[in-house]
Amino acid sequence: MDIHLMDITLRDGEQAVGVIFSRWEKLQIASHLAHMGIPSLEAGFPALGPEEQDAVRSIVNAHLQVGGSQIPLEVYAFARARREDVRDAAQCGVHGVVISISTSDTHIERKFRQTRAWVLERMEEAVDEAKRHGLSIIVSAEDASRSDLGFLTGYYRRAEALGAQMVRYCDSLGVNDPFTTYRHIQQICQAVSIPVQLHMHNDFGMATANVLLGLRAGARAVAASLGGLGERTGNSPLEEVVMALKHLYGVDLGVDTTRFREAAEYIAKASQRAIPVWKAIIGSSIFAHESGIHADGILKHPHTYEAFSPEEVNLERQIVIGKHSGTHALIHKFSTEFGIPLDGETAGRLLERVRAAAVELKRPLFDKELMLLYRAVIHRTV
Amino acid sequence: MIPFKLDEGLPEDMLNSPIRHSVYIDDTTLRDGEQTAGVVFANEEKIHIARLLAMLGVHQIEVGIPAMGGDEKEAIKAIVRLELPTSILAWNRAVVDDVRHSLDCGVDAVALSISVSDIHIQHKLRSTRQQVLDAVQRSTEFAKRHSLYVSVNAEDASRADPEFLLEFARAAKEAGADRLRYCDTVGVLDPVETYKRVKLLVDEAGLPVEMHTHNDFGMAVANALAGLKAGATYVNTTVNGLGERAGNASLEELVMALQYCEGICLGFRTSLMRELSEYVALASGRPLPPSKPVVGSNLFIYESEGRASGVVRDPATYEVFLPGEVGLSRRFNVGKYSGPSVVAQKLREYGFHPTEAELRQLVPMLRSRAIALKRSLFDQEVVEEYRRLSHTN
Repeated sequence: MDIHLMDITLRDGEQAVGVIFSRWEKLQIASHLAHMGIPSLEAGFPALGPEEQDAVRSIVNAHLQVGGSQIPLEVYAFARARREDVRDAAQCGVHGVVISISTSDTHIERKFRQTRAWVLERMEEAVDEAKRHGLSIIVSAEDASRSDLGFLTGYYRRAEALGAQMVRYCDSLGVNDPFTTYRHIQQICQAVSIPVQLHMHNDFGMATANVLLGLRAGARAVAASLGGLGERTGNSPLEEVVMALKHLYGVDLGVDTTRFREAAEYIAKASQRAIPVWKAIIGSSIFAHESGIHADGILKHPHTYEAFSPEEVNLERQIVIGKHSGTHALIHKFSTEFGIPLDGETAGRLLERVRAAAVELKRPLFDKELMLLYRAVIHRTV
Repeated sequence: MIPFKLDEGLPEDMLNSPIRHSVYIDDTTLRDGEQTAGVVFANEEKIHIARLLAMLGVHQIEVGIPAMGGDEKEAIKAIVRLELPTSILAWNRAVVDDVRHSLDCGVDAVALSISVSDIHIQHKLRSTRQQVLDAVQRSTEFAKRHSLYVSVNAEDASRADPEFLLEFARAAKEAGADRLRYCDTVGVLDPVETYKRVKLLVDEAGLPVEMHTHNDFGMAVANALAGLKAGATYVNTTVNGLGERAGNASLEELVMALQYCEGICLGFRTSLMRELSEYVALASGRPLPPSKPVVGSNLFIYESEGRASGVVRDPATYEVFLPGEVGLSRRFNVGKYSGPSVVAQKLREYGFHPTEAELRQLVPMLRSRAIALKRSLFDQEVVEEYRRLSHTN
């Protein structure tokens, strides 16, 4: 199945409060994304001014290739539905432009203080300008999820008739539940024949589920960001979409998932937004097991508590010894790491000490602390 | 079972499935949350979190695992002694001895947990389906004889044979169980598959169903909602989504999604959410990301012109709920993506009223400044730049 992936870290991601990438960092991030096999990205918003234009141009001029292939990375720029924004984008030499304007009545009336007809006119002008420059065109509807569906499909149909290559559906405020997304996308896919791209925000924690339901309904493109960086709660994290497609639906998009963590770490440093240790797919602790039941299961058979192997995303499995550990994990740790065979009784007594110490210290135990407790237990035995 | 088909048609009842029944929240921050590798709450922290959860309004608090003994048992007893206006549930393996520990603690409800997938039964339990059925019946009957409310936890239900899961549910019901917890233990469902499986269970088993979902592919909240749409009545949540691996369905996301995506108001004191989230973040040693849905510190800060220009005219353009509803507040910040609306708003806060011409000059200057510094600007930096500009003019 052909699903078109676009990363928008460099535009929507950078729009997150307090996040600014330097030109060099933007280029590095683009390079990371291209190398792992992401075919297209939104590199920036040239209308912001000369610095941004320089940054976008340097990505274009790097002539990055996708994965190990000879296929050139498609570089898009973001533009409001204005001729001058599109011109700024074109001057950066990009492959394509994302033309964006709000389509919800709430935005049209209260933000623009305008009419639906005005919105259509603005979009038409911007598309016309983009065509003059020979750009590939994605027409985006901001706040699509709160728009009148009749007006929205009309807007997309108009964009298709004018020559757009793709239309973007934005759940700008992340208000959709997945089944609502499905209904909307199903109707839109009936109205247009060009691919529909999904751009979902995470305000209620459902961005990834919304993307997947949109794909189930017939959308064939996704605009996501690695690590989920974006306005407010961010976007659907690209790594979640890629891994869910691979493991839940058997659709492999050919992305090198072992590169997720390194690229996400780079973005985290450049944006000063740490990756939470529990972040799905790329968090450093998602393969750490402490509780007796889980560790016991993992030691017997990793599939009991892992949906995929840590190697696939370049992480490591860890068995942590702490309050919730059980005797099996202790016995395993002592025999494999310290070469000390523990009998069941010693393990039981050691476990009591371990739990008490972990509660008192409010954390798992270091190896040296474990050894100290082990010695104390042994000496009492003697 | 897996892989699911991406392009199959979906039935109308799934696509139009408003939640028409009551929804109950059973929060497990103190059990599954604490089970997270590296997380340990002090006993007094457990007690404080229980208090906050009760104040927020959750219906049941899963407090811990009495069979662990020692400190854990003391913490549970202390929470029971608070006489909070919620049910207090303790987690147990489906073993009579575990339930005895729960009885010692004085809780009114127990979860009796056992795996129901073949992969768990064979590789972890090294047991048989029949032994699983026997264990759940024996422990349920024992708990019911002692008048406990019983939730039977079907661990790894999402990877279980659906026929066996039904058999398990019927056996539990026969033994007197009050509800069944459907666990997507490794987080491998999407909302469509969740809906299908839970609907079958609700229709066929005749037991109230509770959703327990994990976030391994980022879909815990959406899956919990899908389960509710399919007829489940309880949800097992954790504050901040704390939990094994990538965590559980987050309490604050679920409660707000119920209200603003599904139109179900639970009547919770949501203004406590930020405080509760901060407390759990500190106690668990897992800091809240500024982008955390519902309670993240950055959610109501306006920096980019697109959003700010809408919000200064009418917050409804970009806010689904007001910041005060979750204990946050609205603020404007000048950064790279800021334009005249943000800058004007910021200067107004300091008693200045810049003209349009001034803003046209000021915005590119501030933008270059932010890019050069690689950060948003402090208010004073914006004000000084404006002062300089109005002097030169």
